[in-house]
Amino acid sequence: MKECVLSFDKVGIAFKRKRSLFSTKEYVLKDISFDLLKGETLGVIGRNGAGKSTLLKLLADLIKPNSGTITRPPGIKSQLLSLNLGFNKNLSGRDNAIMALVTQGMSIRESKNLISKIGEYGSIPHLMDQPVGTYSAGERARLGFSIAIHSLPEILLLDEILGVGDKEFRKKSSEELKQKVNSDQTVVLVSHSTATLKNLCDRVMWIESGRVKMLGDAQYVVDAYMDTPTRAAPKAELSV
Amino acid sequence: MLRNALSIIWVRGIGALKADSENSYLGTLWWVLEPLLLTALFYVAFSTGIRGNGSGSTFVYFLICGILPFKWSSSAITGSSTSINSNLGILSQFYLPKWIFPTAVNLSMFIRFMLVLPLIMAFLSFGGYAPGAAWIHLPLIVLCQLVLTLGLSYLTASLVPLIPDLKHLVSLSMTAVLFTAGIFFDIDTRPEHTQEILRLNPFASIIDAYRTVLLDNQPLSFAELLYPLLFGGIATLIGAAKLYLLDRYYLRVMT
Repeated sequence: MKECVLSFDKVGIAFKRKRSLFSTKEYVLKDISFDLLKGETLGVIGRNGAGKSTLLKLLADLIKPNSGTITRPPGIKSQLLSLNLGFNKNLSGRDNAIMALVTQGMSIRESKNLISKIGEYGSIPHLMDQPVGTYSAGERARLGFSIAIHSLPEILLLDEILGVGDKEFRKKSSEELKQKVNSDQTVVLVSHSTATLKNLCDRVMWIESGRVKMLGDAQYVVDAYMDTPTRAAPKAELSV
Repeated sequence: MLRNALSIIWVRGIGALKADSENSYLGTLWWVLEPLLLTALFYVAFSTGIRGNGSGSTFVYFLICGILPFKWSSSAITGSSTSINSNLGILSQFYLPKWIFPTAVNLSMFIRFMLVLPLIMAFLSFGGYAPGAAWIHLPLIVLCQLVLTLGLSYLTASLVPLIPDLKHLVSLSMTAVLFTAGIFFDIDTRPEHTQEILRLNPFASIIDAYRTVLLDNQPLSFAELLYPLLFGGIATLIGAAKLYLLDRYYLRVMT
């Protein structure tokens, strides 16, 4: 059996809806247990409000659960793919890249050595010394993606597979991500696209009303999910 | 872990300074120009005809020893109080220890003051306050003010994300401190009873110490610095403890 890099044991988390002394807590996740195995791609599926974003926050270690335990071996970092770490528009691409890389755990020297690679990967080496404020939106996206792909954590959390930039770079970036997902990178992928989940994931976890409804082989879980009609209750899915 | 945290503080602190200097035509010059203009402004307001007791020339030196050090603390504390909120973008993407942010603000503000301090000393020397042996004590005062500033920064930084209402109070309190720290007047000239109350303000002792050393060229009485140092030390402990204990709580209430 593969090494387990993260494990949830009966995790529950509650939030207050309003900033008031009298509002009561509501449980968003009630009872989540699963093991994340090294190198696997775990898909997460569920209707709106099922707690997927909250699950990502717990996985990224941003907040602590109210009940249950999350165990991770020391030194294992998990983070969302961050395409925009709050670029400072007055600083050059180089300075912003160094700031982002160091913030994500690299040493200052390591990140300085990566700069030329990052510029070339995003095909913006000529822009690295210019202030980010003068970049076009696409160029900024290229810089962001290039930084992100050069600083992948042990566990990569993805909220949908996204390509960024113009048509050409969008293809390159989403291909690169898919390749990462298929390699021995450990990935948790939250997606509404059943096709993406079937294609890319080894296992899929289906969350419903704060509990794991099903966890197993991607094909099987996704099919079961699709066969279950949405509850008659208000249909909240917006097509934007 | 700590090594990385220190690198982050360094990179962000220096980055903020760089960005600030790129943000205007005069750039870095403003770090010096702003305190100078501020002093000039207060000078005009308080010591010339407007206020009316023409003791102008000595008053400006008296003022400069108070207002410029205070400016450092006040920018650092106000900046720190919103530092967690203004980095929410990064914080909602991955985990970072929250104490990094007020510390980075303090680093850049400290560096700025280190550029202003020689300016104060030069200005005083030209004005006839020759550097004397007592100036050796200056680093002690700076250190003491640093502890106090850091402590209050941690304290406000740890509270404002939880109680956003406090944001409005922080800058107001800094103004209150400004008017009660004896920056515009000599506390010793006030009635006994008022003095006692005014001396509760830890900044009063610090500014007093700057003047003792820089203007009077008298050796420092260390007992005087004990109060702000203790005040700062306790604030640092409480603030740091809060930041540490609530480290993974902030994101719950902020997003």
